[in-house]
Amino acid sequence: MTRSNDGRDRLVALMDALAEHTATLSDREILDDTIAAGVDAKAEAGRVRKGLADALLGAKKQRLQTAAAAHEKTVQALNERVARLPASPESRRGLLDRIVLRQPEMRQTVVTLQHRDFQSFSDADIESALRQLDALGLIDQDLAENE
Amino acid sequence: MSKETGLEHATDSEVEAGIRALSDADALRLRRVADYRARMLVGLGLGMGAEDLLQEAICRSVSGKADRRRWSKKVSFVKHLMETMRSIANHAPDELKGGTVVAVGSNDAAGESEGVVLTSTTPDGLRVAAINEQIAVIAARFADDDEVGLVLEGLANGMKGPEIQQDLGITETQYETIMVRLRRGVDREAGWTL
Repeated sequence: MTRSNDGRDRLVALMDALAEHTATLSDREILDDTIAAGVDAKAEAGRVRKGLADALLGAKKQRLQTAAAAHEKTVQALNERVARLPASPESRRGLLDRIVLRQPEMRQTVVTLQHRDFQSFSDADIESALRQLDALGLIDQDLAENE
Repeated sequence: MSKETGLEHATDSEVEAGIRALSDADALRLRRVADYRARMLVGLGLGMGAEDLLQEAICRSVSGKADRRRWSKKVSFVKHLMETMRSIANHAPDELKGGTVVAVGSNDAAGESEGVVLTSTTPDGLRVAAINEQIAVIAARFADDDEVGLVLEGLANGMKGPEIQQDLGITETQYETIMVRLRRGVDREAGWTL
């Protein structure tokens, strides 16, 4: 038990007790109190429900905006990575050749990513493989050496 | 219904249905409890109205933030919201160590969902004076009601209902009757109606 002469603590303790007490009131008591206070119970209850519904809608919208912003950041990051790849198909093929030459174990990774034989890679396959390896952070060194 | 850490939590749609299904009495009960909890926050030097507190409770029920309090459907929706409001009010002082808490409703610099801004952590002279005046008004209102006066004293001493009943040697029913007088008197005197 703590003795408090502080007005703030007294107010907090009183409001806490009143909140707890109100939570236990019967429906009849709540409605009677409201009507006795000169408040239109039905209208006020409707206003509370609308306020809650609006808050829910707002929270959902905010969450969507947050998700959209995160998606935008991810897309932007991916686009920035694409820009790091060599411009010409020949240069990109050369880069991939150097990667698998320097890191032979990467050949199998690339084949797995593209689902086809390494020798039959098209230009699009090569670009796709490089983008995926870049996104995985596996070719930072190779890209730096290529620049 | 979504599952998280073994507990079953309501989906957004279920929260929406919970709001729609609130009876008039439950909606009014929530508003009254929010009113008292908001005044707890005022007592702590924080600016947050009853409606803000209700909205904050809903937002924490569905937000993806770490401070969320999802609705476990093991308890009623009304009880969940009342507990969430109590949690917000009780934890506000801890959250305010830095000076300002951003709750639900506004955007931070990263555009992420945050909320109503709780401010004013340091009691200033005017606010302390206003609180003391409120307490004085309430005390004066019950100057001729010894029973309410004793309950007020017990609450100020940090006692809860059962302790006060034991201390005063009264039954639960008698205590409830005194609390009704206290509640109605406080509401009437302070003009704290809906």
